[in-house]
Amino acid sequence: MIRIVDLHKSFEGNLVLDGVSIDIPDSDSLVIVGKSGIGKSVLLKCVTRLLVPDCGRVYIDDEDITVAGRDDLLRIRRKIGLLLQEGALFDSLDVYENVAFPLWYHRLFTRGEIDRKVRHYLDIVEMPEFIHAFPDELSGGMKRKVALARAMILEPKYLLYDEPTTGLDPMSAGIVESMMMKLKREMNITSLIVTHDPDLAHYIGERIALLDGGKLVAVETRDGAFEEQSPIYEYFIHTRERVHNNHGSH
Amino acid sequence: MTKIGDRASKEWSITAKSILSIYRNFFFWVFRRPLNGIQLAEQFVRTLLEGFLTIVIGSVVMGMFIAWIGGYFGSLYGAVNYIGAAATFAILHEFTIMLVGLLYACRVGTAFTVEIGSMAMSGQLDAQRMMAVEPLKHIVIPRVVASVFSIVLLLAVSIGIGLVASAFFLQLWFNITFATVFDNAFMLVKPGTVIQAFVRIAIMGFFISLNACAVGFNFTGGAIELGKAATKSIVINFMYVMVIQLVTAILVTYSRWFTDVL
Repeated sequence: MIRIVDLHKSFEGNLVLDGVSIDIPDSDSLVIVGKSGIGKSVLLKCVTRLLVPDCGRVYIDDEDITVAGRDDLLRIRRKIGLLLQEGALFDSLDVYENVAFPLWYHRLFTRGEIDRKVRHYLDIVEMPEFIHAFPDELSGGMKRKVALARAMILEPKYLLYDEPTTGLDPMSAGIVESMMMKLKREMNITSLIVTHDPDLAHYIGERIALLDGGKLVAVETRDGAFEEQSPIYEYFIHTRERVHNNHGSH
Repeated sequence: MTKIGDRASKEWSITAKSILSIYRNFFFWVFRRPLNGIQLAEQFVRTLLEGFLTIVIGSVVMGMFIAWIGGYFGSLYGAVNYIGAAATFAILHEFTIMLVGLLYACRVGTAFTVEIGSMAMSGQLDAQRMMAVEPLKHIVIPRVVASVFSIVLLLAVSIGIGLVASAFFLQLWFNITFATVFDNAFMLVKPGTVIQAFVRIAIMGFFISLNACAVGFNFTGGAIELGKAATKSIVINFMYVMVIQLVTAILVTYSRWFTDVL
């Protein structure tokens, strides 16, 4: 289980996270939505300690990642896969090498085993024919599929997604969403997703939380989130309508 | 103006902290396994190739400069027979060290900063951290260790080319033959003269590469900031090269270890 307790983070006096607390039980799929720049990615980075929170605690299986030493941090992070925006593939490595990289680095398997695992995960994300392509030869959707395979190869217990479908055309976004769902179903992975894509939130989220003003102001089940009186529904639907009206379109 | 000054001093304070943090963490990670031998070899070849042409051209120009000054004043004061000795000593003792240090900082150091900075910008360093890979170990250490060795080899290249170029241009411009130049060329050179040069350049290589990696490693921002980081890397390394050159020259001459003992 991931337990986030009273997380605070500010940048140069600008408070971004103001006491975020939530539990994410095993096998859960929590989607955090909120406006751009509201601190969703900062929250993910604090959960993984890519950013150090000002105060608060993040427990990964009861181990506090915010105070973990160097070795413990590496060990805890091996339980977590993170799919970053744009995929963050290594430019100098081809698809195969990108996916094999963590196994090769940690020297966990023989060359044959690594080969088998890489091909297996590239099959899962339906990218076996691009095994020797370099990142600059791939579309945005393909990059994210490869990044997903790479995030999965260490078989993490938790998978965190930072805007996994942002900037993708509907077809590519749909494929990435299907991959996420496939991984979740087949491997029973606990997922934490930050996005402002309502389709993704509805498709993959078992619970949906709204981040606003540095706090999680609402946490709903998927069905509850898309009911008219829900603040999350308000965020997704009414906010856009209100902006359209304010700008006098139609 | 005050705002600009504040911003600049804040930027430099962040950079200084980044560099100090890399110094501290470098020694923690450098002795930890697994040391990536393939990456080390790749970076060695890469830094050698990247620095080679620049240093060859720089060494030829340095040889021309020494030939012109040496030939002109040697002829003027009737000291033609000692030009070879003076040129060789100057090249070995000081000139090539500063030349290779500065050119390495420009060519290889900046490449490190921009490369690692763009990796930070595109999230590649964070991606590594999330695979339980410490980017300092995987990215910085192979570059720094490779640099210490490649810069020594590039210094040897620079010394060789500098000597040949100065002799060639002495003959071309002042009709001072190769034989005259090389007869007394190594009169002032002791083994210690050569050893001190390689030790000093290895120290420079270490700091140049580590500083360059540090500026890229802690980079935040976009394309404009990346350009600024590249400039900052050059400026910091130029200062380092000059200070290291001065301090080590004082140590070498004051201790007399390299000049008298070796």
